[in-house]
Amino acid sequence: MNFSIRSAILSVVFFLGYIIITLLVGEWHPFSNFPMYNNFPNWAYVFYVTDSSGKVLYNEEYFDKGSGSVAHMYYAACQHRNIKYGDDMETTSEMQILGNDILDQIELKRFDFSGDSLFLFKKTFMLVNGSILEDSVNIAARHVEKSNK
Amino acid sequence: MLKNLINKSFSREEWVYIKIPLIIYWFLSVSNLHGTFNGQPFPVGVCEWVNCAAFTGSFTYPLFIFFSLILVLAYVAEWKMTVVTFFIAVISVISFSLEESNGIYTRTAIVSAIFIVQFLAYAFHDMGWIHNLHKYRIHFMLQVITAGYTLAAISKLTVSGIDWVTDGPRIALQVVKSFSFAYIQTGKASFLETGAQYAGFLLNHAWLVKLILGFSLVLEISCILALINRRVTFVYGLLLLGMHIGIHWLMDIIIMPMAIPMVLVFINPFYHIHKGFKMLMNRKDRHEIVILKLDLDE
Repeated sequence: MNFSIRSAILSVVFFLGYIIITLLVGEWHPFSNFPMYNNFPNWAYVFYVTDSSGKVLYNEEYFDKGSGSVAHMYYAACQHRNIKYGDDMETTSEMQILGNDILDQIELKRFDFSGDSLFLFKKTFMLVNGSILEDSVNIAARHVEKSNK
Repeated sequence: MLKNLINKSFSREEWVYIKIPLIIYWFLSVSNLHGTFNGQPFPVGVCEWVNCAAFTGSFTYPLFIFFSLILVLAYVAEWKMTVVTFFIAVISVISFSLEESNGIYTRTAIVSAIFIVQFLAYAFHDMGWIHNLHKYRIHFMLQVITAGYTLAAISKLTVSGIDWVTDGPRIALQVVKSFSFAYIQTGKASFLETGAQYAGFLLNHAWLVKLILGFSLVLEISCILALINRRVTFVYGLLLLGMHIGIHWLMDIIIMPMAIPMVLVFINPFYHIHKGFKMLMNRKDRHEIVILKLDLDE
């Protein structure tokens, strides 16, 4: 059998190299462990914003960031501030700090909503005895200047 | 098997049908990003060293778009590829690191990695380290994409172990979450109903969930087999595409930065569509020649 050792090495070098470097450095673009859904915890969070009347302001209409991005921001803020998260283990003050971090990052596209405040909610889903339960908590609020808008 | 591994070759045509949609996807991704971010509140990656947000200013953003367009045109024209792929890789790393520095992780690592290895293929060729550029500029991409799926499997096994399969029914929470995201994004209440229906189905068919998750895990951990030969690569491409479609159907999630490079490099659909069209045209021509001959004979 005629083959080049060098060709054989070149045929796997980037496969092995990318894996080894990623395992060494972790999440550092362009290296990633691709950790999406690498576990299925017994909790899930979604975040939404309401106006003063409790009406949900849909991200597509009101904000420059998508609903999924807002969740990513929450976890990024947790990691940035070394706050442990998940399973509702965050304290009220921690959630307030994180909520404010998120509200600092999202911008309003329109101002036709009730009142002059925005309320960020965290909803938790949990599996209990084969049924999915949910619970929402207001984690941050922000006054909005609506004059001349 | 080793001979197949080494003697794999790709035609110039195959390369063209991969690179053009790839660079279009890349350009749309990075140009969209820079219109969105004004800072980097959670700096990660290269943005820990460089102010990546400097590229999003009102002056720098148009320059950035213009420069990226030049790179796209040069890339399509196959002009000065070593330099062009280098700059595409640099812009890619900075742009997607900026996105992650805003707390948004869309899993774009593979997109940057494939341009880095393309740069390396051209650089190695310029230095005389490799001679078969046609093969390696595609095969290097194949390797990093395969590595990505393998890493995803390693991540699942190291974090959850076999519980990733046995805890699978909890995926119902992720389904409800995904469809709730869709409702909060759009205001369409039908998403909530769909999410509840799918979650109910999963909770009532736990065995099916475990079977599908087990199969997905095996597919990802065995992805190195896609490097064996082109036929296996193609089959893996179809299986992984099926996996992505299944995830999208069930959870309304699709990880485009992984799926698109995989489809283009593993399956190369535009090339096969073109080949199929050419074959049809050839058959039509042969058919016409036969009819013409019959007419003349009569």
